[in-house]
Amino acid sequence: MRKTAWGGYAWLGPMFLFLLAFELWPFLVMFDQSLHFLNYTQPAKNGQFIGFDNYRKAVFDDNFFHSIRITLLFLVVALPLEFLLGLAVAVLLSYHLWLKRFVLPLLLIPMILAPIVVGLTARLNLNPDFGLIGIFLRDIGIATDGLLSSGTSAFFTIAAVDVWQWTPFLTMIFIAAILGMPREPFEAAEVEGANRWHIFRRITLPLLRPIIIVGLLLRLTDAFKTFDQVFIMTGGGPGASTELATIFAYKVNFASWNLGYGSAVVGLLFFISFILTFVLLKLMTRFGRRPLT
Amino acid sequence: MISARGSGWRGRLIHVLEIAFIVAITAASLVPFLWLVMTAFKDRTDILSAIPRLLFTPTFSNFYEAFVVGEFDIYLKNSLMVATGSVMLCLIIGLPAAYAFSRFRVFGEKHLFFYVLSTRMAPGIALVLPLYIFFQSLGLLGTVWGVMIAHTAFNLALVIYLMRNFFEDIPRDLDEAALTEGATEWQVFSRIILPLARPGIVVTVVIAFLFSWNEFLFALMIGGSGASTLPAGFPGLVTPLGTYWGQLAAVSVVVSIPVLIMVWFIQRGLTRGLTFGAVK
Repeated sequence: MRKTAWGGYAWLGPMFLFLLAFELWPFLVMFDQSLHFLNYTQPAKNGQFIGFDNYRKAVFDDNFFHSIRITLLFLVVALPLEFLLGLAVAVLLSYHLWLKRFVLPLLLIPMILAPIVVGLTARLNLNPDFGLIGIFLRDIGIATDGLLSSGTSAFFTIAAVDVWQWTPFLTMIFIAAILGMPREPFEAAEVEGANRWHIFRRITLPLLRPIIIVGLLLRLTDAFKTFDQVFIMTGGGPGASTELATIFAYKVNFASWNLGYGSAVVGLLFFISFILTFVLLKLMTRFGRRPLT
Repeated sequence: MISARGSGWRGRLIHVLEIAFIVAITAASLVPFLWLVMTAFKDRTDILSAIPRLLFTPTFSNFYEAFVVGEFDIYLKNSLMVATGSVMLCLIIGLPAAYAFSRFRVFGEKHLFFYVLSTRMAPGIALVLPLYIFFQSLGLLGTVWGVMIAHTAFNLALVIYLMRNFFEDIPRDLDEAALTEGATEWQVFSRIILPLARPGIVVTVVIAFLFSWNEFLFALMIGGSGASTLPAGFPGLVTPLGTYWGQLAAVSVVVSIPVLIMVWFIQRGLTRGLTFGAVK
């Protein structure tokens, strides 16, 4: 580290300017807007300062509450499945390493695709009239109208699509971590005649713990952001069965054009993700490799 | 690592089942996308056939409809401009910042990671609304520049963080030596650090390009109809009169194939890039 303190700031100048102009300032403008009444359906009252009324309204809004609940359920259903599948594939791949070279690049495809393409792929495949999976399900008598036509099945479908898209991410980081582990404990265990299950439980899993925590936390915050896939698949429907908090916030702002209230909703979402990030950072520094060395 | 150890027919059966499981999972991640790619080359009757058709006469009519008759050629140009432009902006602003965070004692260094995470973790809608309101007053809505700046806003933090991480891998002795020889900071940065960090820059560029190229909500709301990118053009093909599956699939192919190829080249760096260096 060089001590030339002032010289260093010149290098950061462009970054500070950009942050001030395009991140901090717009955020303050939005915060200001959240304290005002702004709705294109009632232009007469527009621009009126109403303090924290929009926030109060959001906290007691059943629809907002519902969307938060859907988001939580979505996380609770999708994440454990992703974790178990991701771990299983990574561990099995570590037993059959020669497969990794062919399998891993193919496995990564779903997570590289644009989220909007993922949603479209799901919609096309699930179509009961001409989709590959849809036709199959219809023929065996499940979901004859398609999985996206009823509330419950639509909800589980968007969770399943998330599993399809993001399990490879966990496989990718778990296999990288497994292959980076020190060899000695494994060799010692093999000499002592431990079976694979024991080696997995006693050595692999404990050594993998920091990475599991990092991976799951990254997934948690990313899944909280899910929007594009659900937007193109169901648009939040049928009814409000797949209306994640992000979809709700979009609708309030860009479908109802209730921008004052919408700003408050977005402000609250920001606050939630802020807390999630804070927790993530704390846990990552505690369990993971230190992010700042 | 550990090899499959079982002997006899049971061991062999487990061995085969494990491989079958891996192959099945791989097929499951691949087949739905392949179906979409096939759809892109089918004509209307083949797409809407109630019996899944694996054999069909391939046609380019969907690509023709979308990119020649339709406006997706313009969207493609917008996509290229936005992604290239925002990656360049990210590098111009981000590389010096990353250098400062790696080599100087500057304030804010400890908060860098928090800043990176908070812009990556905030839902798109939470970032797009402030910019939407702000750009409305600046007249940047519906312009390529607006989308470019918006994408820079969410990619910049990641670029700075990743590049700092890569700069840290370069031993400090190198630049200390050059400095005592009388080189300026700028010479150290441009002649020593940047050339040595080239593999890291490639990884960072690909990841930033990928995020910008695939991004949907910013492009839809800020680009609007004036500067729509390829992903932002999707909803336009889902109309009350029907869904243009063929064209949607064709556009999907054009969106997906270039990034799949790019990412294939940086596979090793991908893990590090997508986990903020937490997994190397």
